[in-house]
Amino acid sequence: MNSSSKTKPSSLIGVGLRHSHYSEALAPKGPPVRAGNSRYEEDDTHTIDFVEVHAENFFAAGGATHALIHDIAQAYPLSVHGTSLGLGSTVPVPETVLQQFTKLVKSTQPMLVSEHLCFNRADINGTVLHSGDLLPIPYNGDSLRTIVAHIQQVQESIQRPLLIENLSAYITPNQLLAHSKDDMTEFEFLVSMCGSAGCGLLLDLNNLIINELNRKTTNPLDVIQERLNALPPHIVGEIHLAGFTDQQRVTTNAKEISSPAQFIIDDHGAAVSEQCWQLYEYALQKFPSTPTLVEWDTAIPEWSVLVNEASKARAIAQAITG
Amino acid sequence: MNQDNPNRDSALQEYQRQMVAKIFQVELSRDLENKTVDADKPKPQETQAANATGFPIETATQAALNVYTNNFIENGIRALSITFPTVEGFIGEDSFRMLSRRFLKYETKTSFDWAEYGSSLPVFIADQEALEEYPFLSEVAELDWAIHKAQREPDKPFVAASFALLESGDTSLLRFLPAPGLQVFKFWFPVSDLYRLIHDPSLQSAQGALARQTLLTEIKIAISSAINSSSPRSLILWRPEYKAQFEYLSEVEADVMQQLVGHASVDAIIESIGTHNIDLVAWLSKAISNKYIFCVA
Repeated sequence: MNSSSKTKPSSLIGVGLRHSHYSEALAPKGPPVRAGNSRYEEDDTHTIDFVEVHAENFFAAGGATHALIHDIAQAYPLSVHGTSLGLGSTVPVPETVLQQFTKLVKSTQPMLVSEHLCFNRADINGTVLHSGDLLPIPYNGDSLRTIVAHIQQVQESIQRPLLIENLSAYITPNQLLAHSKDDMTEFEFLVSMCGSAGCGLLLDLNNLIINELNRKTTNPLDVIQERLNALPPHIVGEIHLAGFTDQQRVTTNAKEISSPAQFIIDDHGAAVSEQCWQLYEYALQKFPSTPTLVEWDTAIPEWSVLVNEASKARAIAQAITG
Repeated sequence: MNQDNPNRDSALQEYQRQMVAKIFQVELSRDLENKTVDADKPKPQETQAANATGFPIETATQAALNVYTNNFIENGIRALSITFPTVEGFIGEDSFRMLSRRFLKYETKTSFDWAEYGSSLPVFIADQEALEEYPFLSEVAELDWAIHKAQREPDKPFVAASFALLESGDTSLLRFLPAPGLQVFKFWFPVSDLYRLIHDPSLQSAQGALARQTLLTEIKIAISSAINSSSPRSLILWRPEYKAQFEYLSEVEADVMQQLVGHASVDAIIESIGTHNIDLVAWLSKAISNKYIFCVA
């Protein structure tokens, strides 16, 4: 089930498709459908090769979203991105949720299927509470065994490999519980996970940048590039690009819990950051022809702005692949 | 699961429980909290960060936890505003945010999907003294929730040809299969008009100001009547296509529909229609054309 650079689609550029863009993205005059491994010498520099949808938005048993996902899948190759399975949780994935995820994957036959390196729920006083968030796990053998077992369970159900996205996090597990320690680095964990589970890696460059900025790393891009050098190219199945809101400019409501100023929040609320573009150029040289997706989830701009971001990614990819 | 060190699984579980408990701002019960890891028992100074209830957590850690708590609250508010748009329409964004923040502590999130969260908001609203100036708001929330649920119900095929079975089949064994999400509700307040007031586009424009004022007057009268009324009105909600619809029913029509929802046989429904002196042909014609019923089987 290993992903391979020889078999993955080449240089496809996509965007995260969100509710506010449905009508424009699906308009009859919209982007032409491309077949899997199209090249980019064509005249249109503003096309989108694939779109990513969040799986949970299409979990309803019936109704309008069923017709919608059918329309989206007719218009674009799909990437189905799960956000709720919490595969690192010690509490199992419920069968009903796994069935919803599997049904969506089987009915839409997406080109990519992905989830996150995280947990999201726990048994609190006899009830499993679900945070609805992507929470960090310690990088140790126990976490590895837990997430590998759950990845394999999902892969068996959907009958295809998953891509697992590296996480942005504001806390390390041992900050909360001192004996919840790391035995390995994040990248060692990711490599072991991909090897053991037969999954691939969804390399989120923005998450790597945010983590280093929040750690106040002096030369974050240098540090990240060094880590990327140690990553086996064959495991990288997709790249995510995004930006983040300049927290200095955000005024918080005094009545709410404010976001601590020392953290950059991974809000996908701005154009792809300059650091992210720089890192993308570097990453594509290491992992050429990797499908790439631009995410923008809050303060969502006009569709044309998002498409323009995708065009920037395409220009970089073209420059590198020649 | 861990063959090398059976306590390490507990460490992972313990961390995950601590983290989620902090986000939800709930206390772990002492029994569970004391189930710590013997082999890897934290040192006294480590306990400061580990304890869920009694000890201060370092500022940086607390700041990080606040980010997650804030994410949870913001996601919850966003989800509730999608599920309960009419409630938000009446009380406004700021009040809705305050209501949602309190509600997020009242109904714990056990579902994977935010779309399945919020079933107890109508009951919660009914208990909020601060919302007394909106006596109808609990019923509006109930309608929002019913619409939301109906629009997620499994699709069903509308089988026009199946109605021929009413001529040829054994009606004691046949049943009318209702539209997705079909339910009969009882509401004291004029929820249908209240819903229109918030969602009807023609009432939101400057040209619609007069119509809006007229509707508001009618609603005020209806609310006043509701408070003094001895019985609620019946409303049928169903999903003929993708969008849920609803309308008031007479009490005798509601009685027939309740039997249909309860999977009564065609014979029993026909008998009920006769008892209530309803015109069978007219009733059936309306039920099919409105798509209250999708099939006979």
